[in-house]
Amino acid sequence: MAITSSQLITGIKRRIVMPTSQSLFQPTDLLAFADDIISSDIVTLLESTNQEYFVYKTEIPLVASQSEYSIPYRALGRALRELKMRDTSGNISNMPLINLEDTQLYFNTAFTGLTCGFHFLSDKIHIVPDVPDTLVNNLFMQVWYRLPPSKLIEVTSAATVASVSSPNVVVTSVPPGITVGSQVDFIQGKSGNSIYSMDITVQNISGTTITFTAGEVPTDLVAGDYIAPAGYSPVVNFVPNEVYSYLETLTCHRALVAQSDYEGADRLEKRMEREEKQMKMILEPRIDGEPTVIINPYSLTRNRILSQYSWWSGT
Amino acid sequence: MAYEYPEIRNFLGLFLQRNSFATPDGALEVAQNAVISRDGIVTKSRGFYTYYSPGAPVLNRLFFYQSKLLSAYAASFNYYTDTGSSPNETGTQTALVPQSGLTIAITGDRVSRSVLSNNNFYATTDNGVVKLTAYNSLIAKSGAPQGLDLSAMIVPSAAASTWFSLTAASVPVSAIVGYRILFGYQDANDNLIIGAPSSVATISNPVIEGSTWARSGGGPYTVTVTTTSPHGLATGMWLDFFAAAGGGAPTAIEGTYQITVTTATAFTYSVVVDPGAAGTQTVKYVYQTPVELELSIPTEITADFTWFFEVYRSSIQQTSVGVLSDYELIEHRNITAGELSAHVAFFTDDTDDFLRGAELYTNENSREGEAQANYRAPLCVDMALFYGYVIYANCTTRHFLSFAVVDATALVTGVDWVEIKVDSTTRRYGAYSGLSNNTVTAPVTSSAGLLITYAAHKLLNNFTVYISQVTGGALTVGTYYVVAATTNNFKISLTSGGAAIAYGGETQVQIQGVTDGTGPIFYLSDDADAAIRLQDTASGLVKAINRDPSSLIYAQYSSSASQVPGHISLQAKAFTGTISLRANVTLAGTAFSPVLPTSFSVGPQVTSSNDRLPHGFFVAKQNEPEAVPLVNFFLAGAKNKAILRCHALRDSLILEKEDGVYRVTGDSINNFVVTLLDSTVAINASSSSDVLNNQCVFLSNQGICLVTDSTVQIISRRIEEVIQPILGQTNLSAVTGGVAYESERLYLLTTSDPNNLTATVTYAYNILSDAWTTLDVLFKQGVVGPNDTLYVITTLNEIWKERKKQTNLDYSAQNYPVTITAISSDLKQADVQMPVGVTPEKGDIVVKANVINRISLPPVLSSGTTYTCIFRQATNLLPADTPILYSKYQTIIKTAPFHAGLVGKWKHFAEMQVHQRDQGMSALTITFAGAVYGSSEITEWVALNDYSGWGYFPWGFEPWGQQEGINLSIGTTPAPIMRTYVPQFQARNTFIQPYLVHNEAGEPLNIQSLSFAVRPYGQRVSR
Repeated sequence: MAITSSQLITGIKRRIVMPTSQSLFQPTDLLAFADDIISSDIVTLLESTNQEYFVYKTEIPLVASQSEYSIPYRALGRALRELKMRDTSGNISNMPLINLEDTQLYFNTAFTGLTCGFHFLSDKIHIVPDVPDTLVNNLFMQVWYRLPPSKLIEVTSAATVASVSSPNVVVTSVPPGITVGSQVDFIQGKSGNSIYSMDITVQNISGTTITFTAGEVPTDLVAGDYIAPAGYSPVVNFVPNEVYSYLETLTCHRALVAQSDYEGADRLEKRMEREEKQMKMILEPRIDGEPTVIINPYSLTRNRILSQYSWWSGT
Repeated sequence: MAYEYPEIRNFLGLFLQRNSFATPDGALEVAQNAVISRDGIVTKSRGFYTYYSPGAPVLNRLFFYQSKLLSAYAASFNYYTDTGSSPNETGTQTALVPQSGLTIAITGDRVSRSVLSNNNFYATTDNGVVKLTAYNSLIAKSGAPQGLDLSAMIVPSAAASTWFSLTAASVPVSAIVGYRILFGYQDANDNLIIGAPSSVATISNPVIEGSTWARSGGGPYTVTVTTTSPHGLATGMWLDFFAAAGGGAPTAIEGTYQITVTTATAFTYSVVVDPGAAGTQTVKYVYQTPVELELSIPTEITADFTWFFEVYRSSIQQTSVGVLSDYELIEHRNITAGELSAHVAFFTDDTDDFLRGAELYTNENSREGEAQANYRAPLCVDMALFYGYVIYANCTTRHFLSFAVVDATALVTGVDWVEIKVDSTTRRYGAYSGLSNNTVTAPVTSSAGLLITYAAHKLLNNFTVYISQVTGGALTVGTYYVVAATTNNFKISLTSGGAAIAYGGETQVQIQGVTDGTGPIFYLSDDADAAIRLQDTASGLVKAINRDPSSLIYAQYSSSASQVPGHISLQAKAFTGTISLRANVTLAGTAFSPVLPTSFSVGPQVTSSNDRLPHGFFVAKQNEPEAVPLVNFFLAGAKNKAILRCHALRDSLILEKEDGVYRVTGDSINNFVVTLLDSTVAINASSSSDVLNNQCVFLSNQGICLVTDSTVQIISRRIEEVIQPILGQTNLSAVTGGVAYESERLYLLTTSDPNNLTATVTYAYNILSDAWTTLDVLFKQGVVGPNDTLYVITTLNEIWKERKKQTNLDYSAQNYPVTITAISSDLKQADVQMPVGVTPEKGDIVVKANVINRISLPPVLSSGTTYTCIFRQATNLLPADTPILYSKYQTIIKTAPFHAGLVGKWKHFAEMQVHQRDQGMSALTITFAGAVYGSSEITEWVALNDYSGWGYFPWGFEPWGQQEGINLSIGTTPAPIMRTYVPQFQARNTFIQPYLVHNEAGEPLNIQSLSFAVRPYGQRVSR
């Protein structure tokens, strides 16, 4: 069962015996603390286990004459986990990262679709060689990146799905932040709290029924899931429930420091160390029964010669 | 650095003057609707509700008398009885009835002041002091009017009266006596109210010598006496005859005999023994007949009380000795209805001298003396009771005018008149010789009716006459119209121009003229003797004025024995404007001194004056509040600086003047001494003054002062920042009112603030805790009334009553009857039908069966006047219930800057707690002010009480199974602690000022402590 932001706030207040009536730490303040903790501590903790907790894939269609494409705006660290090219036949090839120093080697090479590489150009992905004026086939750049958890909002600021009849979604109530034309994320309500899809534009709202463009409502969406303004979530995305206690402790620590309650903060620090160790023991390995398979694509057994071509093609 | 936890555990009230960083912990900058009645505890002040709303009439003052609330308006006094049930009784007003002729007027700046004495209630008005003998009694003028004109005459009688004679060595000598009368009554509280005695009426019984006599008849024998001058006798009188000493007259003519007048100089009487033929012997005689007194009854004496008059007679003295001031009571008689209506009474004195009784209280030497005559209280601004003496301060006396008749011949009978004007009332008195308003005895005969004969009577048809005595027949005493008037005769009728009264066998009547058909007439004497002319004319005018029911003045004949006759004194009955005189023509005006003008506007005027003693006070006799001798007055300070208030302390009478504070000491009027207590403190607002804890407290030119028997102390120093700036406001007195609340140790003062000229704030000072707070109930005046409960006249012109039943409901405001139309299944939501125009609010409470149901969210109008209300707990309400909704009022507490001892160091104010004495509050709104920002985010605190648990409240203390009862708790009881963090922008500060708003009905608050978690920084505020 997922732990919501409201439960997180309640847990924080309970843990440090926060006054029931106070205006110093509004729920938004505590969630902001938690957001900071999630991005600075929780994400790094989970990432340190190399278990792909936050990896998310999207496809970007290639456009003729357009060689530069933006890195997904939510990508953690403005970084990519992997980049591949797919054609309409389902053929996929790897897109190697080509050093800027070597790009001149490919400028005179014809763009053949699946056989291309890239390099970063500022905050862009620059495809090498350049995308020609005419594309023979529709091509899609498959982008894997780490999608950090969305910013936390109170449960009341999100819509809880009551039923789905695509493209209509009936929710228990429509929060003020979701209006016609606004963009929303579809979020899994159960533990894991993945983001089904992002930045979906609301087409209409009638009572508690929200209408989207046909095909944009995730097929996974079920009652109990959430629709939240884009970039926000009433649950911590991708994070295992067991991390909540650690998140709570860290947030409490942040609140106590803000309150200059250093005595309380000191006491929590000892607990934080212990909880971090325990978290790592739980989080890794993410699967015990299956060892990681090591593949050497250049081995003799894979019947490929070490050549520029093979490296390029990823085979 | 770890937290420190400084605490405020002793709340001291407002500190608005002192360096706010140097105030002690517990100092407050806002303490609205709060009191520090228990040491160090902030308690919500009790609520008020509308007890009576008068509409347009403007309330002037409230009083407390005989366990009842009384009020004064501009034209009435009223009392109130409770209507409805506790604790929401409202007042039913009943107007008190003034006595006949009394008009209640309290106008201008006057605020009616009162004093209780002899079980009576006395209050000031524009028309003088009025009194009540019970809360629902008649309103009466204080005191009794003085005796007016009094005349004495010898009258015929059925039997001889022997008391009025004096002999020396068995020889008759001329005798004289004096009479005085006074009026009085015994009020319902058995207080004897008597007025000042009248002037003296003297009558002598001279020895008339030299009369010749003659005998006729054959037994019995008729003796005819012929006097040397008109004898002035009347048939039926009794005389005591003596043979002239040495004259050799026969003793047979001596003795007491009833006479028959035959001519103006002759009369007869009958003897049995033949006296023989008369020779040259003469006879002398004295009266042996009763003396009849005629007295005017003041028109202020009405049938409202059982009034009496008392007749005092001096000892019989030789004429050469004169009348002595040794009057003794010879008659005490109630005034009859007929006498009241005619404003005249007659008394026939046939009292032997040894039957004289109590001395007249004004007798010189043996009693109090003339200076101690009981006059009515003057017009005054304030009153006090000091050592049994009622004090009348800042006084104005009645208008008074002296003039004299100096030449009666200048007046033409039937033509000339004198007019007396008082304010807009003008009364005309016509001068008539002949009978006029003289009281005479005239023979009656039958001549086609009852014919009265009086030579040259000068009465005309339609004149009215008053017949006071009738001999024979069936004619009744009363007023009649003159008809069929001839020179020497006239008849009488019951109507103007009506049929003459039939003759019924009457032989003579005592009669006097009253009016000429339009106005009163007075006797214009044409006596040959100038002195008699002046005296009789003046007496006639005095009599006419006193008998005139429309007259606004009384008159006295004021010539003494040693003065030229004809002096008249006029005195206003009430506190009217000036008395002005005029005559109809210039010549008539010369009959008087000073000469009367012919116009009230042109030429030198003859007008009255009165004494204005704004710096003086009169003292009534001890335990006789209605008896105020004219000489019993004292002055204090400058005349142009008025006494605005006076209060009696235990050993001093404090006079609060415009030029200082004066003290009167002494325990008897004989040793009263006025001394200046402080010339630098002057009262600024008269209605601010009251007595608290045997000290006077009032708003002065130096702030709010406390005056003891010996010192003047400024008590408003702590709030001088808001008091000093208003002291120069021109209308300060008009917008300021104060009341002392002895049992609560409180002094409440409504006044303006530095930014307003109207009443905007009420300061509350607890004299024992020395703490100032404020209330938002604004009043003009207040009184601690029945059941030791405060009632005030609000600035909205309503009477508000303090809630004081010693329950939690005391801390609620107005109550409204409501109806429950629906209730939710969980009993936490109800539809409440409100009275029209009333909106329920969050914090209001709905009370049923002494259970408080608290509205926790803003109610929503559902339909008509019905609101859907959410309650904090499950209620005991049911559909169709008709509980009472009590509205809330705000209490605001803001501390002085709390810096934890270090102003110059930044601190992190992390947390604050509010600790209660009991469950005195269930919700609080908290903000904070600091060095940079005036406020902060709002923190709404609601106690997480669950009253329904076993053992949570004392057994039997609260209604069974319910959440919140109305009973107050005693001592320290378990109560939730309000704990909160200091908001972000105020947390880091050099100082902090918590601002607590309590906005719940039915909760006494009772905050005992504020505590903070503070961490000083390691650096100074600046480098």
